[in-house]
Amino acid sequence: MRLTVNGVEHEISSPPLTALLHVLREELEITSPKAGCQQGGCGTCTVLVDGQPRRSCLTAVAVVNVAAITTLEGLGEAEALSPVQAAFHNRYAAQCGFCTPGMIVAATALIERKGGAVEREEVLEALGGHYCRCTGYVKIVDAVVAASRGEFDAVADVPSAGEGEPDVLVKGSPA
Amino acid sequence: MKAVGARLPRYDGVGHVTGRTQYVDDVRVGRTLWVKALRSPHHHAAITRLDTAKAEALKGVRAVITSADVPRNVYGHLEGLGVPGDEPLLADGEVRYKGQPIAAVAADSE
Repeated sequence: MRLTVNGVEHEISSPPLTALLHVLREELEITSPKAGCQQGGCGTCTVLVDGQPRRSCLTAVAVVNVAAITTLEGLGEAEALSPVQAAFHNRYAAQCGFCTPGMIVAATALIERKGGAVEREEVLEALGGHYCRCTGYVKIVDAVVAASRGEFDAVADVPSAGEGEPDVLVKGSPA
Repeated sequence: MKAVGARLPRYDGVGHVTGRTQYVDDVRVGRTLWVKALRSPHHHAAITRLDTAKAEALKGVRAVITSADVPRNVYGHLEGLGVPGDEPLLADGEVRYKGQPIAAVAADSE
């Protein structure tokens, strides 16, 4: 069977009823879709199937072998973040980051579908099936709304660290 | 103190938003085995017989353990904090809830 993920076609050997999540993670070693609840409740395994958000833990790989699969890895890279990725990063919408892959791909699909700015209510609806257990959803919703308006740069309400390197860094931090 | 009260970029932020952050479940260690538990189908029952011979004979099975193989058969190690050590790691003689682990099998594949 063949599977197209992030524009690359793979020959896969998993049985046809294997969950797409496990094919991605175990066979293709694409690990941004997380194995959270593995029963369709938490949303962190979400990937795009022909642009539509789908729970990869509940999707048999045979059903999607003719579709184009997109995971978070396929949306952007460190040097070229997508608008939603940049907004999440600059607006501190990811804490531990475990729910982030599902949040970002679902938010990206929402913005694609609306073709422009989205309202908070629409974000709540689109991300309703995604759990974040770290913090709250305020910064996540803020980031999606901002990204949809093209405002994905850092927020300017607090001064940045100023010129050059800050005086204080947490010991051991790679920053 | 330029860092206090300022917005600093998170050093792990880009990894989080690009799906590159490695979590424990994302790490693959070579030559590890799969472990599965045999769990009780009953809510409360006596274990009258436990024969692991068939499981041990299966190809690829490396070990089968029961409560007899666990030297100190207690789940958790919090007795020092006053938490009673009354839950066995593997059921011994009886099961007290449906799904209670009775035996564990380690094998080459799932």
